Amino acid sequence: MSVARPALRGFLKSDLKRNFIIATAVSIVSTLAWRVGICDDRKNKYAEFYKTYDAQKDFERMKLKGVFHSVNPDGSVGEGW
Amino acid sequence: MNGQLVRSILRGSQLSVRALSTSGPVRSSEAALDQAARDKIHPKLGNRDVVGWGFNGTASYVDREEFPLPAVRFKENTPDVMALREKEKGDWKALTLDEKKALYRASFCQTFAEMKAPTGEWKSIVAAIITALAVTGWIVIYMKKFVYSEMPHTITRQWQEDQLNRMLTQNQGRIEGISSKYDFEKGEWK
Repeated sequence: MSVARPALRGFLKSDLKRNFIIATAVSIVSTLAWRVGICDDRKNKYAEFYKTYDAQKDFERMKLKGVFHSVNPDGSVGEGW
Repeated sequence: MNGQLVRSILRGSQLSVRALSTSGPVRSSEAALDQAARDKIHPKLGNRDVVGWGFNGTASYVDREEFPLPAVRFKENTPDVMALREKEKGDWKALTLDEKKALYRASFCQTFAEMKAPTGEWKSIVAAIITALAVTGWIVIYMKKFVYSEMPHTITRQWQEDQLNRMLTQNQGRIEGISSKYDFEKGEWK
């Protein structure tokens, strides 16, 4: 019953090779995942939003609620401006 | 020092259990001393044999699971024990069970079962921890009631609701934040 001779040397080298390959693969995969899942996703959301965004309408809405200092809800100029 | 350690380990590996001792004191130089000299060198030893090097080279007795062979016998050499020792030199089948037990107890204080028996110490530890937590709880109550000043007004429910309304009015976070979750036409959450 004979077994093949086990490897007695070169463990650091083999470990380094293995770790290098794994590290490269993981880096590439994670970069791509970040790029697609987060960056591109965010860009698309911004693009979608601004397609249908009416800035003037939004301004009118905010003015009516009275959040501005420079213009009152009825349209007149605010105090001190 | 190293030599003593090696010899102890060798003895320990050869005898994994505490066998009936079949030989006299191992430190023959010690056996040659008279009682007065022994009292001077080992003040607490009395009549007991020194049978080995022990776990650190001193003539001590400790019941230890990982080092089963102490340096000295547990009890002093009385005439009955010496008689049993003589009998022990013969065939062990001739010894009764009680004699074997007496020989064991002459050399050792506890059996392994007694040594390893659970002490129930964990109960007192858990009790102490729970008591400490209870005391800490009382301290927390005291601090809240008597030491801390009033909470700021910005933490009340009304203020927080007004704050949220303001954020929505100003359209804060309109693309990915809070205003993106609010439907302005219908006036309710998406």
